[in-house]
Amino acid sequence: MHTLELSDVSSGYNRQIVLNNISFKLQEPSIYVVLGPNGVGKTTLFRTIAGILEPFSGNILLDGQNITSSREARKKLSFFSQNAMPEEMTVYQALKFYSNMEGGDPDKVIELLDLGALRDKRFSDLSQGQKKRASLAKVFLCERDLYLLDEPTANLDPVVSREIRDIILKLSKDKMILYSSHNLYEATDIGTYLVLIKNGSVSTFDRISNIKPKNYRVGIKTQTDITKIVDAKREGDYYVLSVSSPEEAGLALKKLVEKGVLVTEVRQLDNPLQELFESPSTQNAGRHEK
Amino acid sequence: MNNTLVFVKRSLNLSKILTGMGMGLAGLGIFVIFALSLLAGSSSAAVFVLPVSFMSLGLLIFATPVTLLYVYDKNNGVLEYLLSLGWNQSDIFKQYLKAALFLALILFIGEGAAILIAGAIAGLMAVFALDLLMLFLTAFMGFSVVSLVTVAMMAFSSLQKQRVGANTPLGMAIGVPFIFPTFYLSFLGFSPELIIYLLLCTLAAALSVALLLLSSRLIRREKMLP
Repeated sequence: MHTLELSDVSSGYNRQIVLNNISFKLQEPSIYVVLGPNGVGKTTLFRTIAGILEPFSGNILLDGQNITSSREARKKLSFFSQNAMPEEMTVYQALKFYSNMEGGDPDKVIELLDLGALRDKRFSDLSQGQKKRASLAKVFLCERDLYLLDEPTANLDPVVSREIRDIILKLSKDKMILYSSHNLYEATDIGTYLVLIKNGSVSTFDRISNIKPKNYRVGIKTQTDITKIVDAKREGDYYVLSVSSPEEAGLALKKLVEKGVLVTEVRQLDNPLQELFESPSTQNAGRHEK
Repeated sequence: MNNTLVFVKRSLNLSKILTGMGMGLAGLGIFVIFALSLLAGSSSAAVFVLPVSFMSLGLLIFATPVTLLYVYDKNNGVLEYLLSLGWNQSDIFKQYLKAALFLALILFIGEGAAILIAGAIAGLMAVFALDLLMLFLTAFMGFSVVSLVTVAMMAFSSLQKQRVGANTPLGMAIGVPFIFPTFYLSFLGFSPELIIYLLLCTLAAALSVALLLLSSRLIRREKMLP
């Protein structure tokens, strides 16, 4: 079983602290979604864990080895941030370039990410989405214990995003994956744990299934006007019920059925993570001098 | 393919103009030597540094695309990825430095072959000995300045915000002043000329080694991020 432990880690650029006393521990294979608005320090967190930035203070231990000082520890992780591919090379040459340094088989990852059609195309000639997919391939050249994936599906079309999420989900059965995203639906879809960053610190670290919003908005689709039966408002195609728990929504639904209303669709309208993401302190994330 | 060769190949693809300029300067130096060889006895020691300066500058210009490659790789995130693979600042500097010295070596081998052929055509042992001395001085100055410019360029590239080619001047501004005085040395007498020349070479070499050794302490990793 692999572990990643951050203890009171402060990090940033020059003398500016971006992350302040971050502490958390990953101790099971899973997808840990890192959420937070732009500029809150998600990429800084990934760079610090990857050993690219040296923390101002605190320790980062991967399987008990300090990432900052141990090259062996850093070889156990893989980091994806931006494209990071030599643009003048073909996709195959670029993957070969990295496989010469870290090992692995370029042909295997080309097959894994279905890059056969792009294999001999120059990286600079690819579209943004194709570049992202091709550069993501290098992360899978070697098998690692920890994968740090900073917005791996940004700019990708839904089909390719789905394929990549499937690969990552498969990988998460026996690997730890830190995955950042702005997309709350993607986060709830793929993640098991949430790491929410606010004001440069971790404000929430929990299983996503444990996160309950204070208010639920439930959309009910029906041809009948139900506003006289339950306290609902018409919004577009749905009658919207605002309730404080799923049980309360169930009771309202039971009432509609008893009155003979034909309900064709029921869905939760808001993402459970939205409340956490939109709380005012999240928006006030700032940087301060060390 | 060996990593250094990959970096050499990538550098050559990045700027064919600089490669051509380097070869042109080397050719100019070889032409001056050839002319001196033909004049044989009259090839005074007072001007022998002149072709050496041309050939050293040729080596420097020929190896410059490596510094462009460094800035290019910094901007597109390749250096960041290398850091995540466990490399440190010094490993990265050494990799690009090896590529720059390898490029300079390729041109130096060409210069050496041409000079020795020129000496053989002149057929005079005295000229041949002078040719060997010029080759030695070219190697000493050329490789010292290539090292200094490459390491200085990488160390201080973050001070320049322009991308790729526009980043060249700072590194060149540090290295080229070592070569230019040698053009004027041609007009001095033999002994001080040689001593000053050797001092300049030693200083350039010492500075580049010092910068390389201190790179991990002086240059923070964040300076290598895009």
